Amino acid sequence: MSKVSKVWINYIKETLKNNISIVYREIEVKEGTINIIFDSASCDRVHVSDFIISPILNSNKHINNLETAKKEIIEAASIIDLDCKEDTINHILSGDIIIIFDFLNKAISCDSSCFANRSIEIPPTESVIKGPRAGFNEALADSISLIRKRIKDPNLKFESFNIGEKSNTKVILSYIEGNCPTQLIDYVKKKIKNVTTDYLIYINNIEEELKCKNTPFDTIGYTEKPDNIAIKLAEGRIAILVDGTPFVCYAPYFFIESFRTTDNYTTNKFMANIGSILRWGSFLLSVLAPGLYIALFTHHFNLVPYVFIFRVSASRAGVPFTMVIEVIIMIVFFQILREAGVRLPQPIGPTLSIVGALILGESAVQSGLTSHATVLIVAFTSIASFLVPAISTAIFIWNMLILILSSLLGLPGFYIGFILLCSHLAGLTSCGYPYLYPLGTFKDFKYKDIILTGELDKVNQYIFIEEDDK
Amino acid sequence: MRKLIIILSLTLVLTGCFNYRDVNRVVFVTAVFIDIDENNNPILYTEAYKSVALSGEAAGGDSRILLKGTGDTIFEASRHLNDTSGLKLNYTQNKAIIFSEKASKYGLNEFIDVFFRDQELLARQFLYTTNIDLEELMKIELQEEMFLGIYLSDLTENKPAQTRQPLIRIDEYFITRKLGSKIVPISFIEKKEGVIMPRITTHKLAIFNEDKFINVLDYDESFYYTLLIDKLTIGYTTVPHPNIKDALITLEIANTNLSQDIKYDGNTIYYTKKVKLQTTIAEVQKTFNISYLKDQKALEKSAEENIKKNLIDLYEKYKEQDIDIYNLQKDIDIKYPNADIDSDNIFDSVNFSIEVDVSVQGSTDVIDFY
Repeated sequence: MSKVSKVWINYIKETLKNNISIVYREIEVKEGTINIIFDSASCDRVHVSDFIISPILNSNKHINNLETAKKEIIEAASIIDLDCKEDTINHILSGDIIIIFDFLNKAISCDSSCFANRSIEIPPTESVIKGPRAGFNEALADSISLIRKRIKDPNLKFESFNIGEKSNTKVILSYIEGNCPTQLIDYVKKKIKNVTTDYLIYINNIEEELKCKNTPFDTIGYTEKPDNIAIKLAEGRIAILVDGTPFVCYAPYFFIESFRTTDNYTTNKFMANIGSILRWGSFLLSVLAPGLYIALFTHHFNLVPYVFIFRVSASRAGVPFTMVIEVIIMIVFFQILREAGVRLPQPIGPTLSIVGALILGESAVQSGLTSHATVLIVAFTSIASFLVPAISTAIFIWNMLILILSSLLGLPGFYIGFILLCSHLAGLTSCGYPYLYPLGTFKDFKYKDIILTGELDKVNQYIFIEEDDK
Repeated sequence: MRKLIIILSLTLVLTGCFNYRDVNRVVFVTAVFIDIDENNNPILYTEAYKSVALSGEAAGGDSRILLKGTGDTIFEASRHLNDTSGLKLNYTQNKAIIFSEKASKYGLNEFIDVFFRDQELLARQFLYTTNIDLEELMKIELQEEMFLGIYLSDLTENKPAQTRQPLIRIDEYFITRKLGSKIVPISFIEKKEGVIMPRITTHKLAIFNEDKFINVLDYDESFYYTLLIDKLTIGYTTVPHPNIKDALITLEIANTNLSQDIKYDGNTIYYTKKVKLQTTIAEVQKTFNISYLKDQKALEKSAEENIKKNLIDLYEKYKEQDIDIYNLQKDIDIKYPNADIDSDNIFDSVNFSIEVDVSVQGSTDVIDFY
């Protein structure tokens, strides 16, 4: 064994010691020894045998130089020359095979990665009535393939970064050159490079870097559906894919998008628009209803018809808590139920929700801890917030804030809460773009489906580029 | 954050004190009754709603509370009411302010100020007066409604029952009591005679002059009065059959249009009320053929004469008592504020006439639908 080869192999062995899956294989050819090193857990072993080892052993050609081996013997799709021993580690851990030619003092890396992956499945978080059902999985290659399948545009770019000092996680930045503003691309690249973590496992590290701080609203969008990402890319946005995460995030993300679903564009538009109106109504209801309820029934009896006043008063007779405490208890109670429904295994979760809602709710009323009216308001509010899952966290936090302000100040508190919410939303940005855009501007925004969807061919796809620029 | 604190602090200052009150920790007044004692001091009664917890039931029940308080003023009496109530009385749901006949004759201006001045009492309360003893009135048990205030409120929204009563809310009263001859009609509560269960009705009007009760219009007078002051929304009038003696025809009023023509020649005011009624035939005794134009015109003429006669009779009846029942003074003041007429003796300067135009437009069996 040559001195160089020995140094390289010793370096690899030292660095990757105590790794059961690392395979060291020596092959003797006429010219000398060839060392093959790979990670059996991340490589396709059949591929290694059939297309790397077997051609070398069965070849009649003399391996006088590296080019002969690369061009005439090894049947791998991708071969990279390695110049320094440090590079080998990353290649091995990425599923590549390292071939060290002892007699040539050279080493190459061949792509043979085969990580365990989930197949393409229906995304559980974004079900659609009519429309594509495929969802991303954790494999970057599959995700890129799913996007490329929908956009066969040479301007569609996939730029790669490695983030995470130790995890070396591959992050892909995707955009369509010409549709996506260059300042947006530069901004996102700069932000991604700012991510300093040793191990990048989830996409949230990147989201955190890009999104507005100190707000429960998500100012970065995410989706599991490649068709959604294809639309966003076509509109001129930028998508970020992280190896090992089935969610792809995109920016900029606007508030009004929280109320859109794929069905807005794929189902009967009248029904889709009714759905949109319901989602907007549900958002307002879920944010404002508890606060308004408290303000009216604790401060402003004169604004409520006597029938409601008397019914609520009778309903609350005997309840030991003040109304605001009662509402907060019930909201927390529903949040506990929701959390339990999410955490429990799939078959038990829905059962628990039904049991919780029906039996525990009724029991709470029967035991005199709460009133029917409060249960109804809180239940309706909670269910309404599920219509807009993208901002359900923000809804919860803001309805609590408005609730507390309303309990302290009555309707003035309620109005202040609502104005604070509007000003908070107006102050948010998503990668430099106003989060509320196009709401609050008189500019002729290129979205033609701000709240309702009209003719699809009139919905402009390029939202950042002026018509004249195209 | 600093801005938020400033906004919250300002709001606290602007909204006054902390006013949180649980809805079940309040007694809601539904009706206020006002009487006077032998020294003319007010006696205040309230009928109120209070929710009560029922053992073994998820929801509570309703209870009716009657309270009585006295004092030198209504405000003082209302404070004394609270002495006997476990929870604070809240007047936001008050529907009716009912004056006894005695208190009405003494003068509403002695009692009514606090109801308009206090912000908790709303402008949408209706005023009533009654000849029934107030304690007896409060004890009447109505089958369909536990609370008299709410029953009266419902009654005001029951259109057919309104045909002979104008709805005078407290805000309206405060305006009209100062206008023209200061005549204001208020609904009059009385016991319904000849019924199986004790009932009350408000189909008559009590006339107030300068806040003092002067007289009650009877059932028909109330109708014609309501018609002439343009408060009639729906109603009916029964007229003699134009062709058959002793038979009657009832006309249902579909629409009314009232206008007045006021002219002043320097000495006399010529005041003409023009009443237009669109009616349909609601009921005919014997027979009547509307297709005959001659018969239709005869019917219209008969109705016009009947209505005109009643309106004039009412005017003349009160003219003899020197009461400007239709408050002509108000319209004259508006049109001729500088007219040289004696407002204390308006009848010497006013030539009043009424024109009635009735059109019969068909029959209820064609126009109605269900």
